[in-house]
Parts: sequence; C-alpha cells; structure tokens
Amino acid sequence: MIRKSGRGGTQICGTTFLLALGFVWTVIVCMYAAVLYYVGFNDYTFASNYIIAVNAPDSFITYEELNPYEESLIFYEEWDAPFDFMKMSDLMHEHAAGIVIVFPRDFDDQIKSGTAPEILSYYRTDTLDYKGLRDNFSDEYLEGYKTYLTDLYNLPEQSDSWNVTRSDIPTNGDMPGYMLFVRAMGRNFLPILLFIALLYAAMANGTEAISGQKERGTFSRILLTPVPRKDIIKSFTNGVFISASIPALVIITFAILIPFYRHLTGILPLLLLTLSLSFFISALTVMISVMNDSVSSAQTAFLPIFFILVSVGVTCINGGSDPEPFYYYVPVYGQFYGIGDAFNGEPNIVASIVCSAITVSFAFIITLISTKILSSEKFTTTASSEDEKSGDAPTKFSSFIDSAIGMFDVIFFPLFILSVFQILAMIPVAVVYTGNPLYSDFIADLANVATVGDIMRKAMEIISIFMNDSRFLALMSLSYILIILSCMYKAKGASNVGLIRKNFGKLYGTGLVYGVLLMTLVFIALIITGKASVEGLQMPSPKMLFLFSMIMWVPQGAAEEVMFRGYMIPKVKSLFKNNEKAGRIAAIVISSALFSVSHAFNGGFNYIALVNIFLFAVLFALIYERTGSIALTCAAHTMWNMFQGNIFGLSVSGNETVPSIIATNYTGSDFGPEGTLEATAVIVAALVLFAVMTRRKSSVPKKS
Amino acid sequence: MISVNDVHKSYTKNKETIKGVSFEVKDGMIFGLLGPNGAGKTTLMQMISTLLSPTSGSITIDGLNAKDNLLEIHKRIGYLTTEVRLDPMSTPDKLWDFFGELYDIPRKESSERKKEIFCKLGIMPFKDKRINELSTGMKQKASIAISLIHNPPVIIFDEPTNGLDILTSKQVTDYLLELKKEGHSIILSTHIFSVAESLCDEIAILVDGRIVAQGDVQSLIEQSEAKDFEEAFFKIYVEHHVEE
Repeated sequence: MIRKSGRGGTQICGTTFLLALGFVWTVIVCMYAAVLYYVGFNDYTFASNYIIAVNAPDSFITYEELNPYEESLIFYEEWDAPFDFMKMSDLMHEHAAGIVIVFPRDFDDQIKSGTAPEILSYYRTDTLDYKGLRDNFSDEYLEGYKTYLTDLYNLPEQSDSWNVTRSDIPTNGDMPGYMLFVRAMGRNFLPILLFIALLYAAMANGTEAISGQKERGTFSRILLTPVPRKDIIKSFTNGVFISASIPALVIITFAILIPFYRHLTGILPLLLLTLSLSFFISALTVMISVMNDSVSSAQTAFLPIFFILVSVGVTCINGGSDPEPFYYYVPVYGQFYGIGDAFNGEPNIVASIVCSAITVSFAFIITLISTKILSSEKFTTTASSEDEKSGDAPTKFSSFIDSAIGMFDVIFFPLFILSVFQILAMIPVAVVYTGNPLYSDFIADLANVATVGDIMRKAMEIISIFMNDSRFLALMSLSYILIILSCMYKAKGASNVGLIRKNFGKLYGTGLVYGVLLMTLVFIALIITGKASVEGLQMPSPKMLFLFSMIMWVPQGAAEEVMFRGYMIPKVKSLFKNNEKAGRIAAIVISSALFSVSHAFNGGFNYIALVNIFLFAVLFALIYERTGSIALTCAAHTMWNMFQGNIFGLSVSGNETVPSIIATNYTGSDFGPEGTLEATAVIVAALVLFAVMTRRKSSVPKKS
Repeated sequence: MISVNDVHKSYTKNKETIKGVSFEVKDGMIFGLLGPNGAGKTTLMQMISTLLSPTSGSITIDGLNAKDNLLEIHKRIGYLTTEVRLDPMSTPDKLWDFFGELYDIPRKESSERKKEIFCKLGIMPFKDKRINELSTGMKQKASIAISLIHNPPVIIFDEPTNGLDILTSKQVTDYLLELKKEGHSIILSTHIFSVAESLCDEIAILVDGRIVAQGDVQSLIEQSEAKDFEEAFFKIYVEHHVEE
C-alpha cells in the first residue's frame, strides 16, 4: 500500500530540509567530540560506577578478584590521615569514580576478634543513578563480601558483623546543577524539538498529500481506480507517517549519541511514544488534507493544530517537573512527559504503552472519519469546471489568508533558523562550560527556568557569556554560513537573497569604507559628548578571541543581511503583487522592525536602541533597494560591528565586550553605542545624506 | 452498456444544472454529447463516471449502480477529461506502472499492454519525459493511454480532441473507432462538429441541462431542415435556449 500511496504520500521535499538540519547536527556533534578531546573529558559528564577502595584488607582484594563488581574497576588507595569531604571529592574526580569505600586499617583483625568494624562509604550525588548504584553496591556486593568473610574465618552467623555508614557527597561543592541542566534539557528541550520536527514534517508532506493532488487535478483519477476509499486514506497516512517519522528518528539518534540520554532501557517507550504521536499527527494531517481543496487552505487549517500541539508542549514545560500521573495517559501530554522521562532514563513503561495505545486508537478513529469524508461527494470533486458550477471567485478573505501564510513564512523562517543554529552552536560549548565552577551558579539557575520568557532571557545570557569564548565564535561563524546557505536553499538561489555576482567586489569594498566611517563618526560623537574616552592603545588579549571575533563578524554581518534584507524584502514585496509602492514600503518597514525586535532580548536593550536599530535597518534596506545587492550592506554591517568591538572596545548590541585595540572608558548605555542618542544623530545624518545623494544622481547606482 | 434514466442534478437548492436526462448507450456504439459551454456536459459525464451522484434518477453501467457496486464500476469505466490531470513530476511510463498497480493488473500483462498502446498512440518517444515537459498533445495522449490502462468496456471521454492539432486528433479518433469495433461502448462530449459527425453513431444535443434533440447525424439534419450538421445545431440551439 505504501507504494500505492504515490508521490503525494511519500514526497519528502520538505523532509530534505530537516535531514539537512540533521546533517548539520552531525557535524556539530563531531566538532563537539573534537572539542571534548582537546579540552579533556569532563568527569562530571561521565561519572561512572568506578570504585575506590581505601586501605582495603587483603580479604577484600581476594574477594574482588574472585567476584569482580559488575564491569567496574576498583582502585586501591592507602591513606592514613583523617578523611574529609574535599579529599573524597578529589579522589573521585581523579578516578572518575562514583563510590569511595574506606576500611579501617586493622579491618581483618577486628573481624577475627569479633568486634564490628566501621566501614565508611561515600557516594557522589551528581550522577543520575547514584541511588541505584549505592543500593546495589552496599546491599548486594558488600553482603556477598560478608558471606565470604563468614566462610573464610568460620565466624558465627551474626547479623551485624560490621557497620556501614553511608554518606552522600555533593560533589565539588554545590555542583548538582549540571545534572539538573541535563535533566531539564531531556525533559523540555528534546521533546519540544521532536514535537516541532514531527509537526513540521507532517505539515510539509501531509497537507500536500490529498489537497495537493486535488489542486493539481490528479486526485480524481486515483478515486476512479478500483481501490477502496479506506485504502486510499490508509496509504496516504502511511506515506505521511513515514516522512514525518524520519526526522524524528534522526533527532532521537543524535540525542542518544550526545550524552543527554544515558539509559538504553528508555528506548522502547521512547520509540513507542514518538511513533504513536507521529501516526496520530499523520492521521490528523491527512484528515485536514481530505477536507481541503488546495494546499494553502489545508495549511491554514493545519496551523491552529500546529500551535495547539506546540503550546501543549509549552504548557508541559511550564507545568514543572512533577505532572499529575493522569497526564501520562492523555495523548500528546503523555507523549511529551513520557518522551522527556525516557530521555532522562526514567521511563514509565506501562504508562507509555497505554498512552501509545490510546493515541493509536484515536488515530484510527480519525482515519475512519477521513474515509467517511472521502466517501462524501462534497469533498471528492473540486470546484473545477467553472462554467457549470456557481464558482466561488477567490474572495478577499481567502487572499488575506494567503498573504497571512506568506507573512508567517517570511517572519518565521529567518528567526527560526537563527535560533536553531544558535542553539546548535551553543550545545557543545555549554557542555564544556558546565565543568567550569565560574559558571556553576548560572548553570544551577537553569534548573529554575520555568517559562518561555525565562528561556529567552537565559539563552541571551548564555550568548553574552559565550561571546568571550573563541570556540563559540568559531561555531557561530559556521552557523552563520549555514544560515546563509539555508536562506539560499529556501529562496532557491544566491541571487534571490541579494548575493549578486555583478559588481560584488566593488560594492563590498565601498561597504567596508562606509561601515568604518559610520562607526568612527559614532565613536567621535561619543567622545565629544563625553560618554567615551580613549585611555590608550593596547595589545588585545586573549589574542585567539580577538582573532576569532574579527573573523566572525564577516559571516555574522552577511548572515543578518541575507536574513533581513536579501531574503525578507523580496518575499514581503511578492505579497503585494498589485501595489508595488506599498510592497516596497511594507518590505522596508517590516524587515527593519523585525531586525530591531530580534535584538530586543539582548542585554541593556532600551527604546533608543529600538529606534536606532530600526533606522539602521531602514538605511541598509534603502541601500539594498538602490543597489539590488546586499554586498555593500554586508561589508558595512561587518565593519560597523568589527570597529565597534575589536577596535573601539565598545559593547556590540549588548553583548560582552571583546578584546580591542583601543582601551576605551565607556559610560553610555549598557546596550552599547546603538543605545545612545549620538548614534541616532549619525544614522539620521546618514539617512539624510543618502536621500540627498540619491536625489541628485538618481540615474547612477547609489552607494551610500 | 450505459443507461441514464431521468437524471437530475442541482448543486444549489434553486438551480438545477441537469433537468431530467435519459439516454442509453449500447455496446459497440459511440454516443456523442454536444452542447455549448455550461450546458451540463461535464456534470453529466462526472455523474456517469461516479465522481458525482445524481440528485434524483439513476445511472447504471452494465446493470450496476454506483451505490452498491462502486469498485466494480470503476473496473469497467475509463474516464478522461481535461480536469483530470497527470502528476506533473512523473513520466508516462512511471504513471502507467503506478496505475497498473492500482488496477491490479498483473505486471507482465501490464507491460505488454503498455507497449501496445504507447506504440499505437505514439507515446514511445517521450515516455520517460516528465509530464510538465510535455506539450498539450503529448499530455492528452498520455492521459488517454492511462485512462484505457485496464481495457475498460465503457469509455467516457470529455472532449478528447480538445487542443490537439489535426494529426494528433486523427490519431485519437482512429483509435476510438478501433475501440468501437472491439465492442467498447464510448460516450464522448465535444464541440467540434467534424469529430461528432465522423465518429458518433448517435448524438444528443444538450442545452441548459436538457437533451433537446437526439438521433444520428442525418436524422438531426432532416429534423431541423438544415443544409448541414453545423446549421442544424445552431437552429436547434436557438430554438431551445432560454436567456435567464
């Protein structure tokens, strides 16, 4: 039946994009592995069940040789001085061990003489399963040792031949934050990523399936074949199910590869829940597809479902970590919580199976409804032969819906890929940073993140911290290049995002000069008003960070220009087919406003910055309109940021300052020069100059 | 054998598109439906091919009705209209295989039949080209081939020669005559008089959802006392058409 579903069902054009994302993820994971290799494995991450035995008696060593403890190594240490927690912690870190067990020096003698010796055992608390490890070790392994000793020395059977004290060691001061962070990732980030991937893939393929065939007029021919209606629905559902599941499975695979997911026992419920959800969403999309005559109307109908399901995810995130058990059995909620728990290695297998079964039966009911709908004439034929039916001309409303969808595409896409790639670049660095006690407070605080607003704020704080890490800057450079590539992919060609070969070098060169000029003017204005003063020249340090940040501004400027100018402006314009002038104005205003708003989560953002960045964007949009290419603005954008950060030592868009050549004492807005009125003056002057110059020589391509 | 009995169809409550149509098409006969745009030809054709169901009246194909034997009817009819298109990204060859599977034709039989029909209609040279790279005529030929994939006894063609040049059109009409000789019952709609004249054994003229005249070409000309068929059609049309 899958083969019979035809192109409509198994088309994977939308999936290609997600697979590309998966590929990018692979690259990042490899880089992450490389980074880990150089930085050294962080033992918080891989705390194992290794054991350290201190002052172990000979009998224990023989016992251990006879009965190795699972697959772990036991390290033997000798230690006479009194024990303290710091020593314990150091030992554990040294061997990446989970347990330290300390015997008294004269253990064997005490046993023989019949006095009950004191054994101290310490367990680190920052691994997920330390309780299991603790119980397993002290209940089973040590009990076995006790029996062994009883046999060895022919001791009388007695219940308390020794006392074991258990102490939990909060490793490295208060560092359980890392595990909390990992758990939060497993519980919140991964399920929502899966949800979005599933919904996106289902939307890309499912809404296209039947309604697309109707729109192209190829569906009636399938209806006229002797294939029962229920088989038609079944095969389309199968096709959508497969194409929606592929990206989800890719995500699961990579999530298992990186160490958020550490318990393979969870894999069964994980797959069950993901696949049942995928089936449910596929059935839902196919039903929507059956009820609509065109792809765009099907997508419009799907959008509310998209948002409802995503907001279910968001409410689950906001709901905290202990949902009512009831929710584990409700479709969608059950999937979200269940997937999160499975990622954290605490799957509730019964609930997963029940929830999957309920979801699948819902999906079957939806499939039956779709079959019923497909059997009713109203939905099988399209209003095609306009001369015989009272054809509905496209109404104002439907064209409004069309442009709303187009608008969604324009606005959503650049912001979406920007956040995706920023997160991707952040993950490896975040993992490295978790070992750094400097940021332990910050990381521990991540566990308190409850609302979406918190997530945004935290993400921006992270970026701000990371701007001082050359590894992050290198990853971001790569991400920006990928952003440019995906915009090009989406717009089908480099020339469609303003990257035009003609005059590229010349325009880029001009842009470099204008960028430097503008920034220098702002700097001079700041000095005149006393908000900044030069303290002298310096050797920028650290050098690597200086170098990487210099390099990063090139793809960074280009990527922002591609997103907000090259990609967005033609897209918005194309929504106003009838009114070119309105289209141009709307394009400039919308793209500039979005550009401005996208900076709003940066530190120190204020209303002056909002206006300034808007004006800045308007100037660049006008230059783009004038030259038809983003070469000039790419260069100007790059130089603006580079001179701002690396030369004048000012904060770039509220991020932490990077090493600079000029040591500056700056007292203006926290956001950096963009948050000051001086910058407003310079930008307004540039806008006026631009207007005057374009008016004077309107026939010559403009350059400022 | 198709029989249509007093069929009515209305899309909206007040307006009937088809106002009581009855006719019969015997095996080995070509029946032509002739009428201006908006007369209800396509609606009628869609009802016969089960894509629409009549508001009242009955349509049977070999004594079967769509309500009880839908899939059986689908095995017996081949339907072609300009609205039913082929997937633009596929090729005639692939589409044939795809639909062959949907009609449950054994693979060997299917490929033999493919060769035969593709040769007869001259599809061979472009069988591996994408549909959206083909010309109108090529598309139409591919469409015809796919419609006849299961060798249906009843063939319903809505304007099969629409938009074709004379050569291609000739190829198609010759093929239809051949099918008629094989005993297929064919119902086709057209507004090209020469096609109707040369092909059809019986013609019904449809005006405003009613059959206003029916018979072979000669009897229609005699009935309306006209010189030729074209004039006969105009006379009949003017006589029966009511401006709303």
